[in-house]
Amino acid sequence: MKRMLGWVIVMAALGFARPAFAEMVVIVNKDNPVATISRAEIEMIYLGKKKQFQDGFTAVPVDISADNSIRREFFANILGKAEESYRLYWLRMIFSGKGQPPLMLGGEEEAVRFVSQNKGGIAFIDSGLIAPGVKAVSISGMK
Amino acid sequence: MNRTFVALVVSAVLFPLGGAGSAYAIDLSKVTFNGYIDIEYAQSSNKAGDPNGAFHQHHLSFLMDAPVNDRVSGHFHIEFDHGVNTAAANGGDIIVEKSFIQYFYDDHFQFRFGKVLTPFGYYNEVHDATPVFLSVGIPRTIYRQNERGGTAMFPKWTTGINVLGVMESGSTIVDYIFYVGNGENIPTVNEAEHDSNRNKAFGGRVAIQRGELTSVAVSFYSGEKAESGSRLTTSHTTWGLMFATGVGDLAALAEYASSDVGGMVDVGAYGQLSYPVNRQLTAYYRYERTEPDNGTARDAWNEQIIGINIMPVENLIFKAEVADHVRDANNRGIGTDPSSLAPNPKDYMDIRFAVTLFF
Repeated sequence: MKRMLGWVIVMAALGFARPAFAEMVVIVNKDNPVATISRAEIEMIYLGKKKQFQDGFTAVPVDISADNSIRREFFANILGKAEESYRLYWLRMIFSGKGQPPLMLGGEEEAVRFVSQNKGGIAFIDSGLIAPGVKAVSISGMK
Repeated sequence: MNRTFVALVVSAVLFPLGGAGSAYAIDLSKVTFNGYIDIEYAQSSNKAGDPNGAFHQHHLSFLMDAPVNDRVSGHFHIEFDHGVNTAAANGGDIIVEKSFIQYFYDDHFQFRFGKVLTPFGYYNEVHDATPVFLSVGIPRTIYRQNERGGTAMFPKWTTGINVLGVMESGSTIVDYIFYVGNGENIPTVNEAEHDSNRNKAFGGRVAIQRGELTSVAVSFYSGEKAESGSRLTTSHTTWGLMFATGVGDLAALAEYASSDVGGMVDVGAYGQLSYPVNRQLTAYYRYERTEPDNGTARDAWNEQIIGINIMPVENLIFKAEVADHVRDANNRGIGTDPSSLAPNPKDYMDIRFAVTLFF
């Protein structure tokens, strides 16, 4: 009985361990020549302060509505903001006529699909979900 | 007849936007529509304010962003103010808060053409956008100096040309905007549409953000103020300083501004602290001080506000605050009681409540 319980725990750990081992990556369209992007640039893109990649592509940032560990990691390590202050920031931008927040999609798979179809797309996903049409970029200037 | 006219107008608006085959149609999926409505209640402790209290349907605002392509976009904001009833005296206003075309050259240089809320300080560009600020209203000092016994520090709106952009260096972001536009007129003339002065007004704001929490901004405005007709003008220069920072969840915001109208110097300042008690409730405290005229002794107006801002569900905000006003005897805003012609009380308190729905 104890051995069976042990196996159950091991299997559960393997089966449901994605949040613990998930690695957040930032993806762009495969045709986007950008290979490395700084943390500050990503932050500025997601805050509407930067609208172009270095090569001139119009940046189309994507957010996901799912409250998962990938999104929390992106907010904490890349944006450096609590979700609440990010939301208030965008309210201020909207009502002062300075722009609209990143496109909100339902999940990471949808974000991958969007970025693969849009040259300027940029999103954050679990590294395990990278698919043809998108590529992960390395991030410089991480804290 | 009226219905026919309305139908024609609606058709004229909708067909170019969505009509099949229209060469000039904008992709409606990219047009965004936002807005807000707020209802307030305010009551004062004596005749210095409104002792009876009143409900106010203060703002009903609609905003639209319409990108034509990656470089050109239109931005519009129309406000119905104080439950508009144009048939009544003091029947509220319908105001184009902003309406401009923006051209994006690159991240460093963008251009706006049209009417904007004058980019001055922290609050003027969100002057009436109640979902954005914690308190029921923005600070009266600096932003409504004329309601504190002084004169307006800058025109609320300006119509003209703006150049703006963002520069970055490491973790420092510099955000700038400069403008040339219509100057101030005599009070009955729409400043956004006319200029009684030969020289246009100009100004700008440069904000520096370092790290995630600390930002500093300097604003300035320079123009001519028409006092009583097209030929009588006075120079008007205003500058302001904003500082915002945070320690943990505690946020601090402070501004100072000084305005010189033909040698008469107005000064305004405030400091605000806020703390989110939990995800729904934020408590705030603000101290405002206005010194309307350097040539008049004992004319200051001090206001302290303590309040709470509650967002129980997304898109709905409740606000409640108490304000304590302490005024010096020579403040021009004190006024007289029409029934006795005696001066109004110097000091009074307000209670204010607001509910705001936004989308």
